[in-house]
Amino acid sequence: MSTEPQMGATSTTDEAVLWLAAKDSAAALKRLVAAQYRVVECEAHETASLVRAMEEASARFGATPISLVAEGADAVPALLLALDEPQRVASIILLAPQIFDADGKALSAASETVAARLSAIETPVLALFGTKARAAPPEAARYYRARNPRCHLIFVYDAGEKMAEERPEAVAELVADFVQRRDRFLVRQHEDRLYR
Amino acid sequence: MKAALFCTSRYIGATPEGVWPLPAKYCEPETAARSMETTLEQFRLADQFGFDWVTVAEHHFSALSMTPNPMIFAGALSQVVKRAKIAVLGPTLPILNPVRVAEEFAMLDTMTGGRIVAGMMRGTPNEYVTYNFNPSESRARFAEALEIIRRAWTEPEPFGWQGRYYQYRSISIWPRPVQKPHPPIYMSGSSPEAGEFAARNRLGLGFAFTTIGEAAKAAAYFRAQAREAGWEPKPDDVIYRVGFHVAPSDDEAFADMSRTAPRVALTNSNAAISAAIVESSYYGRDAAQATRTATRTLQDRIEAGQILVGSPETIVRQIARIKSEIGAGILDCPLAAQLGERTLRSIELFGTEVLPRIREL
Repeated sequence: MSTEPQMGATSTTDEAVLWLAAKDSAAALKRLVAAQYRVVECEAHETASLVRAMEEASARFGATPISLVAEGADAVPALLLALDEPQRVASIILLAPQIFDADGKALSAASETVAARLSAIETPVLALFGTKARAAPPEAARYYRARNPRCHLIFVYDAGEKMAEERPEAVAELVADFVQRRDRFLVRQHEDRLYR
Repeated sequence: MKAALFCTSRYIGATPEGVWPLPAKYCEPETAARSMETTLEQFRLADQFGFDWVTVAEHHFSALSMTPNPMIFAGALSQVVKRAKIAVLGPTLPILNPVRVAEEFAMLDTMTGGRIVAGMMRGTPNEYVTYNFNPSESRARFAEALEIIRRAWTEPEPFGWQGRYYQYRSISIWPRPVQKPHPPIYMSGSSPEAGEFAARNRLGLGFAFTTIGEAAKAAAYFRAQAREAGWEPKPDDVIYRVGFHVAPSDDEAFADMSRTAPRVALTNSNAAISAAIVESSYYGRDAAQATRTATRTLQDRIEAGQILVGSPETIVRQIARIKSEIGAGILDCPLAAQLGERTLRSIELFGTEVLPRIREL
């Protein structure tokens, strides 16, 4: 586990994002999100170490609750934390989560546990699926929403599981918007006017 | 073989030929209304005389086609055409909102009890001026829009989309299509890119504004690409568009056609647009497409397989050639002329004298 803040220097808010992933993953995406938020990388893969990482991040930045970004199978500890200690979690963004397969079956015993409790999550959740992904196929997306109608699904076009590397700008926009606005991200606020 | 009647809802009043965009000052609303009523009657007859499909399409700013939104016309047809499938060939996908296209097709499929055929078109190049889109982006927009539409038709839960050209935060269309998993989808195009895309995505493919020889090559390429993608297109997966005018005799049919003006392709009706399109990458690896739409004599068009003219016997022979060379299972047949009663007779002759004889081709 590493909670050393690598990317907080240029952030424009005090809000922190705890990123569950290997240190070397999603570098371009993390840099883009770090322009707006304090990004803390964390390699915790189970709830207890994740709690410690959040406490360290809160102590360092004074930010609590904290938003979580979880890649792949790290969706499991992120969602378990939202179930067990919801006060700690502001929002969760899942990148290519691996809890269900394309037929809605849980992928592991741990996934099964989360799947059974998914409907109880009240924390805002955004789940992103690459339209070309295989391990986290877009056909699986519906099962997250079916279990928890508060879970927002977004298909990231022309991307696989590695959407963070393949389309970092597209994913960063979603992450940043959801961290800031949670469920309200549904309503567009970009200005489309061409000329003043 | 199956046959579709394609009517563009052409304006039946006098207008300048070969001009695009055609100034709106030439449009007399009562004549426009009469033109549309005439088209509805022609489609009703086609349904009565056994055409398998009726076809509408999207074109803009032109008296040749007054269905800039073919979905609206298809909605009217759903109340007039009771048996035939209604083919919208189609919306010009890259210049439209794909969610709206998905919704409108689903509405039509519901209103017709599942008789909708969904054409997804890149459109004729001039359409890119209509809503101010860059034709160079048309293929990429098309591919993404089509994927959104398929998802919109099949996803049971609300979903968002983070694309390259489109972004939505929540899509959940009502009604859903009647046909499962969704209405049959066709695209058009003679280019290698079109054949490859249709094969990869298991779409039907239509050929228009081309020749029998070129379409035969493109159809063979499409089938080869489909085999590589693991499927074998059926005859109904290939549409060939060919104009028609049938009369009791060849002489009468030719005499009728001599009273009509030559057809000028919309893009070719504006030299600046035509040149700009060539400069763009719109035609892809099919650069000859720009020249295939050049205006030809009637005889040249017959020989090229762009129009069927003659008695029922002659027409059946021409269709047999199309079937044997292209392997198309569906003929999409635009009316070659607006000649009042003679056009209605042409529809009847095609339905009663031609259709029964091409069924077994």
